[in-house]
Amino acid sequence: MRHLLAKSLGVTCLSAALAFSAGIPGATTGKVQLKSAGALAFGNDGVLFIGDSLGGSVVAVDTRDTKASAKASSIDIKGINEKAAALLGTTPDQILINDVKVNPISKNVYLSVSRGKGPDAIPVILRVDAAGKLSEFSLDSVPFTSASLADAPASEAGGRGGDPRNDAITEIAFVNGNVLIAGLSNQEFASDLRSIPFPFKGEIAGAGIKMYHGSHGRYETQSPIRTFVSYTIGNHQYILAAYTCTPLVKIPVSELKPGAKVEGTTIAELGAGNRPLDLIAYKKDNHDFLLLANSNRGVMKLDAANLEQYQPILAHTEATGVPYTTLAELKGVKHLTSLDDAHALMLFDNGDLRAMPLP
Amino acid sequence: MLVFLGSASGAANISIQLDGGEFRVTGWTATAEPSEGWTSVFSVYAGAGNVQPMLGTYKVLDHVLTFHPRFPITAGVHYHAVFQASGTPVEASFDGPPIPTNALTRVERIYPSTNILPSNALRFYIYFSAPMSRGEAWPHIHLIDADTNRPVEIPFLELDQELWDQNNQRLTVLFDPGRIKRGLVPTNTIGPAIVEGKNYKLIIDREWHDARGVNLVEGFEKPFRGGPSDRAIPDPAKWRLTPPKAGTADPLIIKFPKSMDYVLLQRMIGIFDTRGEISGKIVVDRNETEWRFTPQEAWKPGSYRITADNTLEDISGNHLDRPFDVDIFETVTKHIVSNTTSIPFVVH
Repeated sequence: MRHLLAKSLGVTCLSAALAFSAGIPGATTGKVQLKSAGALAFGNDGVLFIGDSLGGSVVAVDTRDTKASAKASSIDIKGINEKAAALLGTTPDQILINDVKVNPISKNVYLSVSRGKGPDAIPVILRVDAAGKLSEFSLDSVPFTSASLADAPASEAGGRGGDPRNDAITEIAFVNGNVLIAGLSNQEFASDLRSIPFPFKGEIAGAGIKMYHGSHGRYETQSPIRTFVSYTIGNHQYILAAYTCTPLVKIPVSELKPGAKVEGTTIAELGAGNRPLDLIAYKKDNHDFLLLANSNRGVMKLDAANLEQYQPILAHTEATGVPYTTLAELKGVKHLTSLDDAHALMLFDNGDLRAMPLP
Repeated sequence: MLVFLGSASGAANISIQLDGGEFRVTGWTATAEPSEGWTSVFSVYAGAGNVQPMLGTYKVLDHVLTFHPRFPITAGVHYHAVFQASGTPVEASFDGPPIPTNALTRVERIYPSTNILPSNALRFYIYFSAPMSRGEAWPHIHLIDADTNRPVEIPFLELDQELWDQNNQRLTVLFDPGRIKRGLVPTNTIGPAIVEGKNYKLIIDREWHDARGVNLVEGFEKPFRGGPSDRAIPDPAKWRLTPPKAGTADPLIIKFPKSMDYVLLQRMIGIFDTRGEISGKIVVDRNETEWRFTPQEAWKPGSYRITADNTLEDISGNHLDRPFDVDIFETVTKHIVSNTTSIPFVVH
């Protein structure tokens, strides 16, 4: 009988040629066979992590896009969905922009896109330069490695039916040499955060991490992390994670180990009836802030000074903890990501992609 | 410069054809590629307005310049090709195949099948008769309080990464776990999505597009009533077995005291004899309270066992060894770690 719980994290190198890659030691060069392109994150040296939910893997690609640029703050593209559709030879209603991230070195913008919406949709990575020109970032011949998140291979004895479980990857981040992956299954309930050391190597079994809210009677939270950002508080590395309806939870990165039961601390409640979309951290005038885009509660600017001082929220409460203001001028933000020291990049629900001054 | 590119026998004779998925310039003899690339003389655009040319590659075969689009010619796309080596540009327009308009796809069924759902029900599975489009689910799924005819406020975990199966024919719709679990904030501020004793309708809009971009044949409505919450583990000791008779291919029947998760029932219960797992066909019936296994070959007399993964869930997400919202710090050390539960039976 196959062990349905057992998950294997395997490293696959799909092509033969060993290539020198500054960002990915031991990478091979070849064609990356993505089944889907979803959550994106940048590591060091221009390495782009691509979450492939349908393929059940995270792929690390050396973009070799490492020419430093201080600024890309002038990006202002109207209807990037229409422009991407035209580039890809389809109609705007057949384009899904799944994620937007900025290469922190070159400031080029990377978009994960589905061309088409059906099961035969083609995953594409697009790049936008500082001049606003779109191009395809071809995955036909690039140095890459990948880590498989899929179930142990299905050996369906007994003719048992059912399709394999699929894990949707909701967010990826590169923190302290590890790739953190938040995900959710389309079958048995499993919402977890995994931490995979990078460069990917060897077989890593059972790296799933269970997450618990510290508050409210210490119940295990099954609620999946919607978005998170890495953040240093004092001398300790944390991730700040936002959940539906909208607790903000700090989780110590040092405790994220395979099989660990990690207790998070709720430091803010940002209101019910809301889905957090994207979270970034930034510094302005020597002061720390967080910026959180939401489905129903606009874009919130949180004062991130002295996050260690907030006591765990233990009582049931409406909205409390870290103070914030809602920025009335920012409406319809679907994706939010860091661009440079003074700007965030925002994708709006009308398809506009725009560099906005950090508030 | 342009004279090096090729020669035309007269602009009037230059034309652009779309043939076999490629755009071809005829009536002009291509020679060397210009320093700015072939795109500087020949580009194909999809869509209106100020857009970049389509991605693709160029080739010259027998002095004929051809543009091969990176992606196939697509239904509903209007293509505009422009060639200008010198003089007056030559332009041509083409349309991709027409977008289909005939509605064919339906909601086939929704699980759980029961029309009384525990107030902590964890998910729906929506099965469609054909592949669907991604990225459109949430505006087209509604939970309505049938007593007031008002929508329930964000009852579901609206993931942008919609939880489809591989073929986009089954969507998993999770109730927001934060609203289900005791003690977490959303339950206390906006309450559980389903309340015991109230009536509801799960409504699927007809305007949801299938993978061809066409609406469903019709909308779908699943009425149900809120039942009591269920925080009990589905205890295999309470499953009722009807063992088959030797020499027959009659089904082995397992009856559960409550509805189990339809999808997990397809793959989380196996039948083993002393040699290993045996092949057969699974049917799930009676509001997912009955599991029937018909073997490929007739039953032989002897000892068998049913093996169920402990991650098999009831419709509230309770596992065989753990309720959905266990206080894990209290109980995790108490239970015996085992991945499966075995139930022996004998065929006579």
